[in-house]
Amino acid sequence: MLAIENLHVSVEEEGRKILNGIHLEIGAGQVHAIMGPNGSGKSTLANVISGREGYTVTQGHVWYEGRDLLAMDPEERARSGIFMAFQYPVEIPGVSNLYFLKSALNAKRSHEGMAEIDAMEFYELLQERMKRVKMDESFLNRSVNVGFSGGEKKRNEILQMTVLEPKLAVLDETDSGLDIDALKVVSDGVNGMRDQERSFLLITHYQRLLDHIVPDVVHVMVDGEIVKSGTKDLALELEARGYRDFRGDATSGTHG
Amino acid sequence: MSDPLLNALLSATPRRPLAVSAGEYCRDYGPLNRSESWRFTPLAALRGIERRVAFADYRIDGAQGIEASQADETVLAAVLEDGDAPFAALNLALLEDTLSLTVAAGRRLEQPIVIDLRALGKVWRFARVSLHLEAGACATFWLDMACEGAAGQLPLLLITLEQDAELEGVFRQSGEDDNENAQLLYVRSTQAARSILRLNAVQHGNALARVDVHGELDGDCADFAFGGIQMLRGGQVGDFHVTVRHRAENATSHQIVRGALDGKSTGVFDGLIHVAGGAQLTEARQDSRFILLSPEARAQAMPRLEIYADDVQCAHGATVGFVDPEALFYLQSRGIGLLAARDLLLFAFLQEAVVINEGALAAKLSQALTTAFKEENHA
Repeated sequence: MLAIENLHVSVEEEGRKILNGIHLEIGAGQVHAIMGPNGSGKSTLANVISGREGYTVTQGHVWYEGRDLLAMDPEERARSGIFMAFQYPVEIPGVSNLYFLKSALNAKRSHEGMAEIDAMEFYELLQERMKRVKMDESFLNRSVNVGFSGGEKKRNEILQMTVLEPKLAVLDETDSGLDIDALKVVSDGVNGMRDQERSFLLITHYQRLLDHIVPDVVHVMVDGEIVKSGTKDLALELEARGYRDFRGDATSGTHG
Repeated sequence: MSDPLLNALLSATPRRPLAVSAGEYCRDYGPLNRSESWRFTPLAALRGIERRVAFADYRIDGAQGIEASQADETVLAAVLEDGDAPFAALNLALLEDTLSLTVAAGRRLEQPIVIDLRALGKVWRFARVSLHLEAGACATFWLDMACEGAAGQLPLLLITLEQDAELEGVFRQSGEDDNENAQLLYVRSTQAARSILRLNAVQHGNALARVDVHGELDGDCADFAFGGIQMLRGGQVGDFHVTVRHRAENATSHQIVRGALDGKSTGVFDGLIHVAGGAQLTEARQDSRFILLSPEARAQAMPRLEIYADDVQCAHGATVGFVDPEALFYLQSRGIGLLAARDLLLFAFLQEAVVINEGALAAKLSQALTTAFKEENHA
């Protein structure tokens, strides 16, 4: 599904290096989690996958279903099945959630050679998806994320994901700032979509998300490198011991 | 010393008393380029072309249920109390007739009154419309001002709302692919207690389009709203000058302007909230935002507050910026193409300035905005 090879990335304006040779392979139907301390480059990785501007890839490749992902525009990536749940979802005044969801879905359908979705069919689809994420119908007529609480914004991200049905979903700290109930809604949203084909990349600070969404592989990222990969038990180990050991490893590894 | 443009046009002033005093007003006004109110208005668009004087040829639809009436001289004369209305004075000096329409007390018009003012070729076309809503009357109007072939329009619109009357209206200043058109609309409204006035203005396609609105809130609990929308490109200039005077208690007013400026265009908003002594519990807001779509586009916002009462709430805000890159990326990341995303954001931004509510009128405005938006952005 996704293969990242020796990815080096720096911030465009400052030239500061953020990612220092990432290797990561996510197979179809797998759930991978990346954990790491603040500033380790987790969100940069998510941003580079989604195509956000402001980063320079100095070395390496990202392959998505065998295609060169870095050569694709952000909208093309989305239409091809990549979805990113934002850490800070953006407010869009004057554009209703309903119109936004419909435009997004139709962009994808058009890419797949399908006709625009029928109004009734779309309404029924939304009804069902909103029930999954426990969102009230009134959210449809409100402007995208405007006046939403932190939890509502995150649930809105999950709603978009369930409507767009991506092949690869990247969740960038979707669990940050959520209470237990909202965390459950987000997890159920993801778990309800897990199947043989669909892959997920979860970026998180906290082990607790992984109690709800059990990953196939856990990676530890420190200073722009994946320093260890393992099973879900690795997350428990991190929870108990923190990142101290890995920081040491990374430093000695980089500077000899 | 008087302004050469005004002076030249004044040569044939009729002898009616109001016309004589209006003519004197123009002569005493002085050169336009020395006036603060005309400083940002490119006078070349007014002076550059020699135009002959012509009078209105009104085309009206949906006027069932309206009575043609005699224009009230005191309403006309009140225009001259505004110190910055040289072209409105010129209109009073040169044009004899007023299209005067009255909606009887308590009457509700189902259809908008549609007034079509066209100017073609090198003319200065003068028009004057007076709308009078008696107590409790309710109506909507649509005033279309199209220019073609280096034409100029100098219309004057007078609005009188008696107690509990409610009026919503749209004026559209458009020009057909001709960068030498000039339009200056002057609107004066007076509102009695509990009356509601909501006006939307749309500008696109002229070398110069300017709307001056002078709103007088004379009765308690009156409500006034002005929404100005600009879609400009090339060397176009769009200008809103709005003055609202709160002269009674508990009245509310809202001025909102949204402009999308491309090419070398200029958007201007000069807004004044004036709260007279004793106009307690006034609630007035003013909010202008411009988006620059090109490095050469310019915006001028001049919010002004003059408050002489102590128990009031007045707020103003003005911003000039660019399309939000975060919002663009958010839409792109959901599969919406860059151009479509930009259009979506810009259109939503412009629609924030829609202040009218009535169904048929709002639908007509939405349609006109969509069409104009497509023309301006994908020409």
